[in-house]
Amino acid sequence: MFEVLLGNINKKVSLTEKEQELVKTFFIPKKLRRKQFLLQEGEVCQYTAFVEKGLLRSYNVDEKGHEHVLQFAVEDWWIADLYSFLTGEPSGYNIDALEDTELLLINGSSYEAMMEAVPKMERYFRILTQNSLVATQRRLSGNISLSAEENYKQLIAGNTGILQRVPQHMIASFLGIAPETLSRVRRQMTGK
Amino acid sequence: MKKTIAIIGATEPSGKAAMMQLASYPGIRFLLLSPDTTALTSLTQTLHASFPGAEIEPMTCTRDASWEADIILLTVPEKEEETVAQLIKEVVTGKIVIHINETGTPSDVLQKALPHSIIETLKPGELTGLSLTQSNMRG
Repeated sequence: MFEVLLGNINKKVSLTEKEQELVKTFFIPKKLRRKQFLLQEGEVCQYTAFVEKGLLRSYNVDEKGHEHVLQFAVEDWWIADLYSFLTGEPSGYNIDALEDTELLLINGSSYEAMMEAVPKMERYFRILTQNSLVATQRRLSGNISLSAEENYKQLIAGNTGILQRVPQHMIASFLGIAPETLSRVRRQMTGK
Repeated sequence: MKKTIAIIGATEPSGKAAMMQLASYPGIRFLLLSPDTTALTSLTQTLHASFPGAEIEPMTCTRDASWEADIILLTVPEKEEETVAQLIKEVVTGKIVIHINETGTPSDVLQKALPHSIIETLKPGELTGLSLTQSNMRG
C-alpha cells in the first residue's frame, strides 16, 4: 500500500526503517472508484493526495460548461489544489478519478506534524516544490510560445503513459486545443 | 469529496438502528457489511424503499469497504471487534472508527488494535446528534 510512495520519497531523501514506519502513520489510505471525486468546486481542498495506483485529473469548468484540464496524475504523482489546501479558501477545481484509484491522503495538520517528526520530509517536499515549479514554467511557456504539435510532442516526450489511458478530448483540453485540432496534429505526425 | 461511511455489522440490531437514523443524511454514501448476505440484501431493499435516493450499497469485503470509507461504524458483537480490527487496521489510519455499544464504554481492544485511527464510542441513541457535515468530520 505504501510501496510507491516510499519508493518516491527514497529517490529524493533516504529514510531509515523507523522513519518509514513513522511516515506511514500520517497518511490516510483511500480508494476511489472511477468517476468519484476527490474534490469538487466550492469545497475546501483538505488533502494533498499521492497516487499509489490509478489515474486522476484536475479541471475547472468555464461559464459555457467547457472543461479545462489542468493536470493528470498517474501512479507516483501528487495531486491537489494547493492554493485551496494552503489558504483554506474554496477551490475552483474538480479532481476526479478516471480509473479505480488508490490514494494516500495527508491533511494540513498531519503534513506539518510529519515534517516536525521526520525533518527529512521537509527536504523531500522542497524538492517536489522545485520540480513542480519547473514543470509549471515549462507548461506555461509551452502554452504561450509553442505550436499545438510541439506541445503534443512535449507531452509524448514526457512518457508518462497518460496518452494511452486518457480519452483524446481530455488530452486536447489539457493542451488547450480543440479535439479536431488534436486529431489533425496526430494525423500530420503519423503522415511524416 | 462526498463522505463514505462503512457500517460493519449492518444487520445487527444496533447496525440496523444506526442505518435508520443515518440514511436520510444528505450527501453521504453508505457501504453495508454483514456475513449474513440474505439479511443484508433484505436490509438494503428496506432502506432503499424507506429512503429513496439514498446511496446505500451492500458489500462483501470488509477491508475494501473500510478502505473506501472515511468513517467506519462498528456494530459487530464485542467478541468480534478484535478480529474486525485486525482485518481493517492497514486501511483505517487517520480515519474515524465509531464504536457503538449499549453502555458507551470505550473499547481498549480497538484503541490498542487501531492506534492510528480516531476511536469514538457512542451509545446507540447518541448517533442522532452526530454531525456528518464536511466541516465537522475529521479524517
